[in-house]
Amino acid sequence: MLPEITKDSVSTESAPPYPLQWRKRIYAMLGLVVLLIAVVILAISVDSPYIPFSTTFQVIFSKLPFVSTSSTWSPGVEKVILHLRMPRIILSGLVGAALAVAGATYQGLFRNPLADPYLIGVSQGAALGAVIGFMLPFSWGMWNLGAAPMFAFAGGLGAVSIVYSLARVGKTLPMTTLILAGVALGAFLSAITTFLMLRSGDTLHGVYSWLLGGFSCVSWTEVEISLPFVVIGVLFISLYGRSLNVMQLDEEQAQQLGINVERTKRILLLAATLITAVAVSFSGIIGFVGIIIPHAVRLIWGPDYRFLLPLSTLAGSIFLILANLLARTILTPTVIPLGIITAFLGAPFFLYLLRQRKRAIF
Amino acid sequence: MSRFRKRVMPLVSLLLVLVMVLAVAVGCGKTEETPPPSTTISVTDDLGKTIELDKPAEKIVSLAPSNTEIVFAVGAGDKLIGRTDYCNFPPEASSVESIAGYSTPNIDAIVLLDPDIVLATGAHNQYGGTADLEDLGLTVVTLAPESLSDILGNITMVGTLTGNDTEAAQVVADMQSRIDFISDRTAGLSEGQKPQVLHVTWHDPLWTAGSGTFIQEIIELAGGVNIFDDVTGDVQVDTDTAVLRNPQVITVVSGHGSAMRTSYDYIIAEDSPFNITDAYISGGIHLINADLACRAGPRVVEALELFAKFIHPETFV
Repeated sequence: MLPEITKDSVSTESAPPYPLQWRKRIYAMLGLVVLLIAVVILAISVDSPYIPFSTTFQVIFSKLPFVSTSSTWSPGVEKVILHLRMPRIILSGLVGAALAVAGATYQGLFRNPLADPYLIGVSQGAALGAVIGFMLPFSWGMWNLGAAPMFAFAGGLGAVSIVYSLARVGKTLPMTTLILAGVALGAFLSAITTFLMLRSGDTLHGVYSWLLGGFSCVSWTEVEISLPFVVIGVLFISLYGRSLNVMQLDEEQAQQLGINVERTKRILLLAATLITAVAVSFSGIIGFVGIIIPHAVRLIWGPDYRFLLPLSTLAGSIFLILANLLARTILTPTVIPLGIITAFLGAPFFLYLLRQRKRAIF
Repeated sequence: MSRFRKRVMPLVSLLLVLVMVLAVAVGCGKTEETPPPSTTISVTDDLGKTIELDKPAEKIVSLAPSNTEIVFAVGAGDKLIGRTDYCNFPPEASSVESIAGYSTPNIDAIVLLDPDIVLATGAHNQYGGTADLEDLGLTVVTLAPESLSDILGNITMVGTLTGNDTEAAQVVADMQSRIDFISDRTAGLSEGQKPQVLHVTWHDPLWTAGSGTFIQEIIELAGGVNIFDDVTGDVQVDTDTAVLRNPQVITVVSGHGSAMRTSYDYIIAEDSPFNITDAYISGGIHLINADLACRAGPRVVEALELFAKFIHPETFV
């Protein structure tokens, strides 16, 4: 711990002065962990349709080793709790974490407060992939999944690699070129997607609800596939907190401070895109999380990336689990597209924070 | 020796008896299991999947208004425990618990209802909903009719699944005779005697039904020609082309899921682009309930009768 602090106190002479509020931030992290657990428990029970807390606990405890209780609930209840709600809640937490961390990373990389996982064509590529996946007549037998998630994943990664190779100038990657290439390719891909949707006929329903985002039917398979990607990706990016701090300065200055800027950019871009693509492929297009969560965390706990990244992970999970819960319960039994809820909740909360702290966010 | 025997023999005999009892018990258990579970009901759904039930389905969830109408038509409405928000016919359906929308059913709600069968449509299969439900151990029957005779087949199938074969046969026979009544009278028409028909599902942009749809089949059975039989499925078409093809009859569905007549009002308006067509001039523009024209259920025959009246008012009154 000690050498870390000294190292930082040296760099703060030239870097923006981030006061080290260890205690406050650790409390914040612990508080968010507790909140996350509470929200998970709440979401399992108070979903649509409602299952009483007592039954929920009994079902979960009966599954713990060395506990034997007589089951007084119908088999449907157990199936819903263990095979629908738990994977759905875990996946929404993972997706929330992935989008929030990816958003924070892109904002840091591009030094642009408006950057989000969708700025460089990830979402448009994934959407096109998903639409093609929906139109294909086969399913992904190996994992018992539809073709859409895999195609969405490939589409997202494919789009970003095209944008990357278009934007590269020699050995450097100018961020302005990257964003412009991303926006242009995104528009092109969206045009193809819209055209295909127009021609998709009966499959339109599926495509449309996928594009609106959500977790209508999630099985453990989706969790098993996405969990390692998201956990490793988020942890990996979190290691680069200090680099991202330094990169908020001039790139030249960062170079002088011993950071291989180009290499770091490439690595972080790849990692953030990977977790975004995983998130998008299983949940569809859920806007706003990548922008709102990192900025809210910045406004509350400051812009230090060493804390911004883990705090965004937790806050993103909590936010998306809650948003999904609301999407499913407001008009029970109808499920509202999740994207509506994230924007409807996220935007006013964000505007409130913005008014509360009128100083510069970024 | 004898003392040994005296002591051991009872034990041995006891053991023997035990073994025999056990053998018999196990044997009995086996003889009870040996007869194969008598499958009394077996049907093949529209995906080619074989569905086998030990007894008629007692708890049914329907994922589409057309399926709900079929369940009620074959007299199994009391076995329906879940329906969609759009299932508004027959009125009794509204007292059944809803499992939310047609394309967005609440999976949790369906699983909690623990149905014997779930009646889905081709659309549910295409976006993966059917597979999701089957993974959760539910029996999903898919109704994906492509023609009127497929609908009759679906009604027979639901009758078999619910044990109401007789009722279903009656419904099918009645529908078939009503279809035959119309087709008998339109079969001999020459091409010149068949009016050009435009079917409008939405006006701006103009959406119509092309070949491969029920509407196409209904228009032909009713003795008309679909002016857009050169396009396939439910499609958006150009208004100018529709006007230039000069339909003699225009059928307009009321807005989906409600009594909205926006499209109809647009087409019959004074400044309508259709005001130069024969249909507009001769008063051949008709409003038709979307629930009749769009649902692949027992009321499709009512839609056919309406089309017949619109297209050949001189023959069908």
